[in-house]
Amino acid sequence: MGYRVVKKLPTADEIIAAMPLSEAGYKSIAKHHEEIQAILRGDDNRLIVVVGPCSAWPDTAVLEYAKRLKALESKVSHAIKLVMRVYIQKPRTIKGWTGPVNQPNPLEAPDIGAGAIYCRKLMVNVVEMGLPIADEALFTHNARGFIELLSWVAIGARSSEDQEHRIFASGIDCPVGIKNPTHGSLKIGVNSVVAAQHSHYIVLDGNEVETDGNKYAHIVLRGSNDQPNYSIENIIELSNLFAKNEVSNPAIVIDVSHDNCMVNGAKDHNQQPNIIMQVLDQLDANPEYRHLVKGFMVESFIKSGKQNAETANPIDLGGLSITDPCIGWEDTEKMLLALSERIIKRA
Amino acid sequence: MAYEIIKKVPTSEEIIAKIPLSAEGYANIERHHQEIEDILSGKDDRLLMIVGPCSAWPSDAVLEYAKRLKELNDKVADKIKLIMRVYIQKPRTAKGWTGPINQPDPLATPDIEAGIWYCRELMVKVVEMELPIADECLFTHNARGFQELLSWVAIGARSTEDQEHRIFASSLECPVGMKNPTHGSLKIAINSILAAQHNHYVVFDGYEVKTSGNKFAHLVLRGGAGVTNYDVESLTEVNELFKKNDIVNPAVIVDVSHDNCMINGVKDHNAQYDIVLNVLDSIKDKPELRKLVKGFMLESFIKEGRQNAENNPNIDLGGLSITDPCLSWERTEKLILNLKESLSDNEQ
Repeated sequence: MGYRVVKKLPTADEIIAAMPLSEAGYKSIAKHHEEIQAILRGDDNRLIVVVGPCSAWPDTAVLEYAKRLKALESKVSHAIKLVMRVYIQKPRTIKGWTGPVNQPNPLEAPDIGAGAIYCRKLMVNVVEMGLPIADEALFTHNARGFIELLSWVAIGARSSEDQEHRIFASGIDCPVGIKNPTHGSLKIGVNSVVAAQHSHYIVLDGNEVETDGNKYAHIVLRGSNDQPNYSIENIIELSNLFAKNEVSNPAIVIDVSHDNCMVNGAKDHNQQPNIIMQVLDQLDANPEYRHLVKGFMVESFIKSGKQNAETANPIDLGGLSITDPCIGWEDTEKMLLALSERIIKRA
Repeated sequence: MAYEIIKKVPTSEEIIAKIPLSAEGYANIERHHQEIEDILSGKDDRLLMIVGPCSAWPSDAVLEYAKRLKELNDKVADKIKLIMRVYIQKPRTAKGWTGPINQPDPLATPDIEAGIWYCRELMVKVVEMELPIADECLFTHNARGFQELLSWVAIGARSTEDQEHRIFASSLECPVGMKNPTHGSLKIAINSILAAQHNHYVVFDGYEVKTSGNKFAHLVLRGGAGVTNYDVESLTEVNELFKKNDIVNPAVIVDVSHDNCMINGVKDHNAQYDIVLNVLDSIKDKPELRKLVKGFMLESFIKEGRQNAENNPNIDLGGLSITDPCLSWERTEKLILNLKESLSDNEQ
């Protein structure tokens, strides 16, 4: 094979043993799964909001963010199920920093052993605070040690048409949100949901297994080709595709970042709170589709905007994104409080 | 995790030990790699032709096809480097038969262990006939036992934008053809090649590894969104994107099946024949593009067309595709002989 071994990595068992999750932590994940599934099924009228930094770096700022989110949770939990983004892997357009699991110090050489420890520790800390966490399943190898800490998983736009990722999604316990592909086809997005809800035969860890099929696989709209796709027309198109394909628990989460916050070809992260309100306005005008939209995803950190890790001097370690731009904490808090109020009114 | 364990499958070591490849077979694969790399880099001006059934089933018919292809190979080898498709995994639009590796009997339940023996035996037999073989790398897990038998690998249209597949491609010693995505964006396809040619840090088998980057990663045009992309405009666009992105060993294989043989929204497998000749004709006075096009891929089996495996009481086991429709052997042979002749004429 065309590669050079750098070093042996700790096994999943070693990683888990070195940084165990408490029994209370495992129980809280089971409870989060159940609550999120109830929302996706329509048995719970709250909205899911998946919110947090684009990439989980640096850990001190991520933990500070988690602390604030936890404090806010009690004020909105009657209307919103908050899930915190703790994204440890990053897909790239071509190449670049692939997230803290590969390179916990973005300014030094990759070190996956150190990255695994950084990420497990960070995730365990946030889960122990009682917050559900979310990540993207970018690599289907070596997921154990991380995947079972999650309460919500994304299959990214660049992987949503890939059979390996679809089948992986069909074999996990956690609700999985499948993004529309980068080119925007909702038909292919729904095909991905159908494939993930179906059972498949596959080899996992040396065994032939039959996956259960993930009945809580749903779609995440993230825009495409610099165009948003959160309009009522998009939601109606999805409604028809869900019916035609007999999708179980038909549900849409709207990612208000990525191509959904593009304004004239440039990403405007500050638009995210407005887009949520626009979507709710449209749904108020078309109440028959309201039940399909189960939540939102927002890229948010302590500070507004982004910096370039390679050129920033000095690099800001206080919670300023080094990947996609985020809204700051104050705007996040304001947005979540306003959203909570609006949901209560609409109920 | 949400799955039920059916049974343990043999390890790669067990698979390789039970159905070994001869030292001669390994040496052949190395030679094939070298020859294909020479064609991709322009040192060897033969054409690559990747031909064979859409899916490698049933094995008797696949071996009969291999026998015929080997005979043909001896007549055209000075002008054409033939590579046989032995595709053991199939990507699906949503769900369905995922190929003989998972389900060696498409009418029985999946049985991956039986599929492993079926596929390893078939691939080893074809390689021992001295034919280079090709497959799509659909799953990046458990590749060993199969991957090292290949002389050419495809990353499929549905996986070409996926980081896991791009990084896997960057770690292979085998030349890898990255298909354009199903929606047809050539820019994203070029990004895939760039990513595959670059090195990456990744976890393989419990180790942190640094991939070498695959300098022979190249583009496979297969049409997109129901529209063909083998025309001069598409090739010109690819040529410009290659230059702009400093692609090493810039090369294009034209897959004349899939969306490239769509006529008014319907796939016409018989059109594959003419498309090969049309492409060569369209670029014969455009030396830069002619240099770029290193070969073709076509779907071909013993019998023309296709059949459904399910609900088919009279299933034809004599080499009729159960997935995409294929060109017949007769038409395949005629095409390759014509091609060889026209390549020889051009020289005179």
